[in-house]
Amino acid sequence: MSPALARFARDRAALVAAFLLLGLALAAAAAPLLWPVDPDAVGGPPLLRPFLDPAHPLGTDRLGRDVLARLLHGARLSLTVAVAAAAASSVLGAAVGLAAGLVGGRIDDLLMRITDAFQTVPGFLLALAFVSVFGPDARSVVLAIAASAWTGPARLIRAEIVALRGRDFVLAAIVAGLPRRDVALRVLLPNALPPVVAYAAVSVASAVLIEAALSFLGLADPNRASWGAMIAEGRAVLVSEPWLSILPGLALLSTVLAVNLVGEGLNEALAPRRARP
Amino acid sequence: MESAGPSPALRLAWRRLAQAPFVLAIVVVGAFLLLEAAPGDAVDAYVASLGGDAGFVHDLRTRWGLDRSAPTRFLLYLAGLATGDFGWSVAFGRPVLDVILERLPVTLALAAAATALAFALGTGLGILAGARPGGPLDRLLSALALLLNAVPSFWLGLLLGLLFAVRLRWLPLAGIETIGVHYTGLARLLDTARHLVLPTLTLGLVYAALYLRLVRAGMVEAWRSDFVRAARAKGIARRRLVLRHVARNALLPVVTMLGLQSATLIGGSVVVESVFAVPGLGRLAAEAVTQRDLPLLLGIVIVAASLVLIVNLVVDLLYARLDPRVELGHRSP
Repeated sequence: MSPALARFARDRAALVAAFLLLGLALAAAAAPLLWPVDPDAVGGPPLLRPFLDPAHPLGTDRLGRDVLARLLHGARLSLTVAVAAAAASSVLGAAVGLAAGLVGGRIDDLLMRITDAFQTVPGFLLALAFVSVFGPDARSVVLAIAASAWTGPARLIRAEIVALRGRDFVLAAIVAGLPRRDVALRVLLPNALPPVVAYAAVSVASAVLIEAALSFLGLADPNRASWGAMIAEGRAVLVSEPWLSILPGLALLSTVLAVNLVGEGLNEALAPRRARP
Repeated sequence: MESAGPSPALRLAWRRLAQAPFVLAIVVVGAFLLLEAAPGDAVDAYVASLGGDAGFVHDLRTRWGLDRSAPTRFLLYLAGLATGDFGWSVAFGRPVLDVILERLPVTLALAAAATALAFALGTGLGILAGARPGGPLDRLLSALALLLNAVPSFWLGLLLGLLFAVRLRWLPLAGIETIGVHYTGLARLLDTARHLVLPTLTLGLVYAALYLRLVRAGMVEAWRSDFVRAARAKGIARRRLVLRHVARNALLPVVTMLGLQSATLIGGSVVVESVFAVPGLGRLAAEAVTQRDLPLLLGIVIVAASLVLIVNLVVDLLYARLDPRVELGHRSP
C-alpha cells in the first residue's frame, strides 16, 4: 500500500482534493460545534443576502433560516448517504462478482444476466422506483442508489477473478492445499480489490449527484436540510435572489469534483499501467 | 488476408441479441416484485382513481385475478404486458401504455438531440485536446471536462435558464410550445425546437464531457503506440497524423459508450425535463412518484429498459461493422 500511497501523494490535484474532502467531512461532522445554529429554525429576516450580517454569514432563505447552517447540515446528509451507498454497492457488487467469477458456469451466466438487467434499467428510474416503494427516508435513498450502483463493482471483481484464476500464485495456493474458501477470500479477493476501491470513489460522486437530484425533485426526506432541496427552494426566487440556488450548487459541484479527482488519483495509484508486452 | 468467420464483435452482438429476452425477463420479474412489495394493489389504485364500493372492489379483484397466488398473479401480469396491458394509471385515469406512448416522442427527440450534441461537441473537443496532450488547449479543455463531469444537471439547467431565458430572453424557459399561440406545420416544429434548445444544451453538455475525456484518453494511448510512431517516422503531416491515425483509433470506444450511456441519458432526462417542464417520459416518471402511481412508474421502467436494450443492440451491430479487427488482436470490449 505504501508505494501506492506515494504515487497518490505525487498527484497534486488528487492530494488537494483529498484534503478538501477531509475538511468538508470534518466540517460536516462538527457542524453542531462549529456553527451551532439550528438549520431549521427561523432565526433572522427572510432573504438576507450573504456577507451582510455576521450573524448569518451566508444569508438566510425565504423563511429566514440560516443558509450556512443548512449548507453544513446538507453536507452531513449528502456525505453520509453517498458513502453509505458506495459502501453498500461495493460490498454487494463484490459478493456477486466473486460468486460469478469463482463458481462460473450457469450461476455465472445467471448472475451476469441479472447484472445486465440492472444495467439496462436507467439507474435514476430504479432509484425512483425504490423510493416510491420503500418511502423517502435516508435509508431507502441509500438502498435506491446502491440498487443500481452495484453492477459496476460486480463486473470489475468478476473480470479480475477470471483474469487471476489461472495465474501462477493462485494455482500455487490451490496446489499447496489451501481450502477453497481461503483461496477465494485470502488470495483472489485481495488481489481483485484495487480497481473496486478506485471505482468506489466514482460511485460516491454519482451517489452525491443522485441524492441531490432526488431531493431536488422533492422525493427525499423533506424534513432534512439537503443541497438538492435547497436548490429547489431557491428556485422560487431564482431571478431576484439567485445565490440561494447558486451556493448549494457550488457546494455540490466542488464536492463531486473533489471526489472525482481523488478517484482518479486512486485509480492511477492502485492500478499503474502494466508494462506493455 | 484470411477471413475466419464472423468477427468477434459480430459474434458478441449476436450473443447479446440472444441474451436480450432473458435480460428483459429479469427486468419484468424485478418490476413485478416491486409492485408486490408496495402497499396496496392495482384494484386499490383503480378504485382510488375512479371510485367504487366494496362489492365492486371484490368483483374487480376476482376479475383481475388478484385474489390468486403470487405465481398466478405473475403470469397474469406477464400476459398483460405481452398484450400491451401495462396496468392502470391512477394519476391519469387511463391505461399506463397510452400515457407512456403519448410522452415518449418528446423524450426520444430530446435524447437524440442531446446525444448528437454531446457526441459532436465531445469528440470534436476531445480531438482538439488529444492532438497535443499536455498542451495549453488540452489543459483548458480537460479542466472544462472535469467541471462539466461534476456539475449537477438540474443546477446547470437552472443557471442556463436564468442566463438565456430570463436575462437575455433569447429562448423560452419552459414547456414544449408557446402557450396561447396555435402554430401549425413547420412553424410549430420550429417553436418546439426552440423550446428544446435549453434542455438539449443542459443534457448534452454534461455528456459531452464524458466523450471528450474518452476520446482524449484514447488519443493519449494511441500516441504511445508503435503504428503512430511509425507513421511519425515516415514524416506524415501532423494534421493527417492526428486525424487519420490517432483520433480514428480513439473513436471506436465512443461508439460503445453511446450505447452504455443510453440508460444514463434516460435517467438524466427525468431531472432535466422536470427543470424545464418538458412533458416527456422523464418528467412523467417524476410525476408518477409524487402521485404514488407505481404501475405507471414500473411501466416506464420496462419501456425504458426495452429502449436501452434496443439501442445497445444497434450499437453492438454498428461496432461490429466499424471494428476492423477480425480474429487477430482480439480484445474483450
